[in-house]
Amino acid sequence: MTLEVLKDRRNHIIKKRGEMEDLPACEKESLAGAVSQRACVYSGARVVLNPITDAIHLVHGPVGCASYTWDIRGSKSGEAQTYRHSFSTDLQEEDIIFGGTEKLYRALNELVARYRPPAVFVYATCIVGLIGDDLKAVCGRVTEETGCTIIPVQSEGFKGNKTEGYKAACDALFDYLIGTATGDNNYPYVVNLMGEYNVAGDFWAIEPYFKEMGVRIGATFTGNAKVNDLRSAHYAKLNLVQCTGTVTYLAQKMEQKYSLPWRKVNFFGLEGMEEALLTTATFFGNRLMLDRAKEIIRQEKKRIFGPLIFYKKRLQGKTAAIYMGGAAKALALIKAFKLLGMETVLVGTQSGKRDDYAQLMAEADDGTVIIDDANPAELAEMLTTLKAGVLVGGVKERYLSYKLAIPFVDFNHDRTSLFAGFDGLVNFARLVDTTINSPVWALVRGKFERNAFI
Amino acid sequence: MNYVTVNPCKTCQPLGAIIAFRGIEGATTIVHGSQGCSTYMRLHLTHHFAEPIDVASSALNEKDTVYGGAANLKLALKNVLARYKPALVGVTTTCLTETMGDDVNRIVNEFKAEEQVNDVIIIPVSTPSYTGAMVDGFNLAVEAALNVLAEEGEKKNCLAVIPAANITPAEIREIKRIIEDFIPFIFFPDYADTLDAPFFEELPLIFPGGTKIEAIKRVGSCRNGIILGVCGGKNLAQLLTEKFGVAACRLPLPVGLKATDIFFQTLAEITGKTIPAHYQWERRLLLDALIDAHVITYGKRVAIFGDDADLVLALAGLAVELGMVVAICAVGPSNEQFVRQGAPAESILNPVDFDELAQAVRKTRLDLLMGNSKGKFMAKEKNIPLLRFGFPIHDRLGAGRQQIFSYRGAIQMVDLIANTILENEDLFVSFS
Repeated sequence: MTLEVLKDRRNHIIKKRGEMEDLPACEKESLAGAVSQRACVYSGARVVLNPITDAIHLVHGPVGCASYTWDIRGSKSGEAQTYRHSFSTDLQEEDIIFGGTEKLYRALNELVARYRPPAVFVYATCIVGLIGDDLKAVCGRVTEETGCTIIPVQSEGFKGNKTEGYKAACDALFDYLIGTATGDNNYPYVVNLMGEYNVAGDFWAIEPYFKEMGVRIGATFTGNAKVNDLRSAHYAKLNLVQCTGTVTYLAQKMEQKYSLPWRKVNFFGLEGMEEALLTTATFFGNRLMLDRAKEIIRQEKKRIFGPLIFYKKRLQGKTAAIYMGGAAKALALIKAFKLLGMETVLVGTQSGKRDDYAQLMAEADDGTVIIDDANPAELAEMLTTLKAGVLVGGVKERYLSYKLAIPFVDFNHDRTSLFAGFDGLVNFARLVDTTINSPVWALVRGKFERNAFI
Repeated sequence: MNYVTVNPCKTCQPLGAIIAFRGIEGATTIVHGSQGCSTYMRLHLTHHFAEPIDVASSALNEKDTVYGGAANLKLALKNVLARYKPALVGVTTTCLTETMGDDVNRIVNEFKAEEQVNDVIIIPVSTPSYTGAMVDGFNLAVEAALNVLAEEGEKKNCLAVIPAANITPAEIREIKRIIEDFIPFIFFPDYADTLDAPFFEELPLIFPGGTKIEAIKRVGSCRNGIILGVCGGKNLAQLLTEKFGVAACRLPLPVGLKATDIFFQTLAEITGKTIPAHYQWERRLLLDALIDAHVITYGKRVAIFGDDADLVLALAGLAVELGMVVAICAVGPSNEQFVRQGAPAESILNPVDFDELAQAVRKTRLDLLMGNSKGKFMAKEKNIPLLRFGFPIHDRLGAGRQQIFSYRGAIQMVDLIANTILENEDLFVSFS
């Protein structure tokens, strides 16, 4: 590798060559000063819980953490809009000195009185961990006094990275919501969708297929979710886990406690959709359901065949780079690009695990560079060296990509285009085409016209 | 609500410090705290300016918060120096490291001795998030930089110009264009080219631009100084006057006719020069634009809000010149100066969050909102237009290219406000 990287970062970057065994170093704390694209524990917890639409999300700490996370994600709601508000205890210097529990207690009482929410999530920030506010005790007290479910989320920012936050969110759901209400036990075909956040309305794009197969969706973790749907989630017969990075831990806990099996799925891409529907039907062992799934797949494939060929013709032979938060989406993207006749030259994630990277390695072509917890300088160098034709990433990568004259597609939580389901794939192809085939890149690479007016 | 801030109309201090350090040539910033702080602030800034924003973090973990963050901060400094090869590094604290009690000055000095760093300037600034807001953090970072860099010297015919408010890269360019016609000057911090950067043939790790370190040193040799902003920046005016003997005054942001007049008059007084003819021409163009618009804007009711008191006051001033009624003037972070200045408004809200502001907005008749992107919910609910100014602007392009200063900027503003009102009223002919 010719790229110049910090010494402690070198083994986080590898190039696939044949049947090599090596994986990039991963599951480590971000290197200080390396400008990681990762966020913190609180951020991770917020990502998982924020889409719960009718809950109050109260950030216990100074105002910044709440400010920066106010309505910045694209998770849609069909009804309640409470989750789009930003609630903070806005701790001041005197609260830091004398402790923030009293303010938190009063804040919770105010919130419960005014909004009568079905639940309040209380997020711990760095400072709360440090000054030793007993979140659990305050939440317990208010729950007892008001009858409203107040859920502590132990997401102190310094506890680790985003992955710790996912865990904190899962623990909150598992300990305080799941199993607190009874559900309908009569219908045999109920699934939960886990790690599906209804970004840009993704959930609504896949829901009809399940309906058509006779499968009822019990709860979604957590896209377009309501608190009470989650309470009886343990009544489902199967957990379908999409965003593995965020919720596998919860699926495992539910399996242990409720003997509720889970399967990995992905609702992005042709292969993903096909597998998701077939996996579900096969699990239930219902012949009719399986036939219906196959019929849906046949019809939908036929329906989107034309548009996909149209875009494939316009994209074939281009190269792509992928930098995602988690590995599930990255993997699905490699497959999607293959389908469009594009080769992935770079794939990376903020917080992939060893198993994830093994899968990415298996799916990637020879010569693909694989990177863990990249920083902007590394990304810039690699995108340029590897001549990426498009980058798929999040907002932080967008303007880096633009400055390098590399087309860009946002596939993060703040995107506004839905990518799930069969139409989602066409949508994705359309956006890749939009950015790759824009006239702007020719202008950028063109020379200054001297003789324009002669 | 008394104990909950609902939809905050403010952000935290380190964010402002990052912007300030971005205005020094060859500088980069480390946020001393957990990884999330720097990432969130990068996200917020990159959304607003549509530029890549690199900010390093000391990425503290659980152990560091117990035993102190010295080792991590040193490692961060080492890596940033190796990777970015900066001339200067700003180190901002966070609520976490302030509460831990890390002595950042000591850590930095140790680092410099241990690694024998002589050619890179490192400037720590204390910016806890549990006090103040973005603009305060900005002013603290400017103060820290001046304290480290500026030297008192023999006074020369030079003007130091320092913003102490939320002004855009394009507005920095406009201020520089004007002052250039009067007197040699040092504008600090100058983030015009680093936060509104062009397309580069080859992407530099640190964007070119920013006030030269040499120039910051010479601030103490300027005979006069102007601080842009009257609600903040008291610390900066004091510093210039008392420590460096620079005769400094604070001016309102030059938005609208009267405030721009004050700006030009001050320049004329300081330099003893008459105002160049082309500015007098621009002034008359503005008068013409104001006359054209006056019947459209007269009596229209506007609510103006934001996290920066100076910008809110400046916009209110222009609205009054347009004959508008400022129904609400609202500033998020508590600001004594703002309240004392007395905005020309029916109702002044400070401190305020968007929850209280929305309640006030619901209760009064309004034609227009002016403020940052977060006003979009109120605009939608009330079904009136929102003209986006200030920070953050996350749902429109060109935040860094917005320019409302001087007669020129005001002319654009007058048309924009009048046209927005016309658009909303859906008039099909002219307004005669």
